[in-house]
Amino acid sequence: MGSMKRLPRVFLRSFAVQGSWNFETLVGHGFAFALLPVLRVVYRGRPVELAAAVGRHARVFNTHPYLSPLALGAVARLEAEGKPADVIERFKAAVRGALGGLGDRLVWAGWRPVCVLAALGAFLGGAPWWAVVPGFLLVYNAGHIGLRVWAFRLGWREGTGIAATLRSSWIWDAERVLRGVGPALLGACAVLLVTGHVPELGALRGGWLAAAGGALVGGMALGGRARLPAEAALLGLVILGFLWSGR
Amino acid sequence: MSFLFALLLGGAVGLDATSFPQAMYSRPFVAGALAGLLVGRPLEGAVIGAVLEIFALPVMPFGAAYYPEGGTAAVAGTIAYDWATTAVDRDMLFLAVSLGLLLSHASGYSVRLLRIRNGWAVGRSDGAPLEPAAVERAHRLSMLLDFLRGAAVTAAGTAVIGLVLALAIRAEWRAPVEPVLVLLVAAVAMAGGSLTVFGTVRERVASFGLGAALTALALWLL
Repeated sequence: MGSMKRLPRVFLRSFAVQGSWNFETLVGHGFAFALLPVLRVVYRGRPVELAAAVGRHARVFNTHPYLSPLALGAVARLEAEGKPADVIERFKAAVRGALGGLGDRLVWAGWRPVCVLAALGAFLGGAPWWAVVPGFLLVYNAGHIGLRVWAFRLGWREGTGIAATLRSSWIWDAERVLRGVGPALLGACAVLLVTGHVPELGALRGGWLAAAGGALVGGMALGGRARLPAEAALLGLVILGFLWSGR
Repeated sequence: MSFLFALLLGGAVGLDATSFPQAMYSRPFVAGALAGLLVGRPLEGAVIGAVLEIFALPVMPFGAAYYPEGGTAAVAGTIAYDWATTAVDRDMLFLAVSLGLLLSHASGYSVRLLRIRNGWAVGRSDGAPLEPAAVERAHRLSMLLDFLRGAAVTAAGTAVIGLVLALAIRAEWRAPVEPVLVLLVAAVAMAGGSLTVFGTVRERVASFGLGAALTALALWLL
């Protein structure tokens, strides 16, 4: 198939699939952009049909960006096989919610925070920044790019059969492991934060340590909403400092 | 010259956060260290970025959610800190981080504005035929605008934070309590708040406690 030669371009464009993210079509426009190299081969010499296919693919679509190659690979295959437009649209509608949710849990709430926490823990524990920062980027992106490559190959190979393969894939085990490791790393970081291995930040002692314990419990109770009171306290101290300095 | 490079870095960081390639050099910890490297103070950049990173931990870019953007804030905070100080200054570090947190909200809002603009420019597709070249042009323009947005936020943020730090130095800013210690307490609160990223507190608190206990034990043994 001539379109196979264009697959690497589709894969590379998948890195920019969110480039025109918007509230109307979400990643739809980016999906059409990424798929274009294959569409140009499939509809060679048929500009009207090509424009129609681009228009179809630019409609509302959503997926996690790292799993977008899965959908792109599968849709590229369906287009290359000349499947009817309504079959392709039904397939896209079926996978878009699932890929978004799966990617969010696996990457945004798994791989990314685990890698970030491992790097933060190493830095707060006294490891040099020049080892931690490149180490984080290397390890994180090994997983990131590995996931994209795996997803693209799976999508191209399985086409509409990706759902069955995904149900029995390693992804679910990986997600469970990451969700178990992450909190332990978070606990390690909390201890390292207060023990002063970074001289620029210092250590907490006595009453400050007790305050940190209270803040930890409060943070757990509030979840992500802890950011608002924490920021308010810091901003309050900034303003108080200006008032205090004028005395 | 380093300011120009900082703007380029801010643009690249803004672009990486959503548009391209999401390699996570937009994480505040990485962006802060890179900005620090530009001005010859990578350790302090990494420290500013590390604290901003802890605040960014529970932020999940799910769907169309609004979220603060910490990467550009880390670049701006680090460059402004470098403008204001010549050696480690914990008060200025506190101010750079605190103002960086405010900037991350403004930066997040600029992302929202760009998405509204993108919707106006490319999001009206109802399935009607589209010229391939026009789709590519529009997509690349959106990415260019995202890069420029990151650079502009970095420029404006550096100027504002730098100005406040300059005012603080002039006023001999000092807080009634050690400000960096308050920052650490706030960061610990955020560490607790981030637990919900991995599930409910009830499900994950044992694993959290195990990590904390093992780390404390290791530190005590070492």
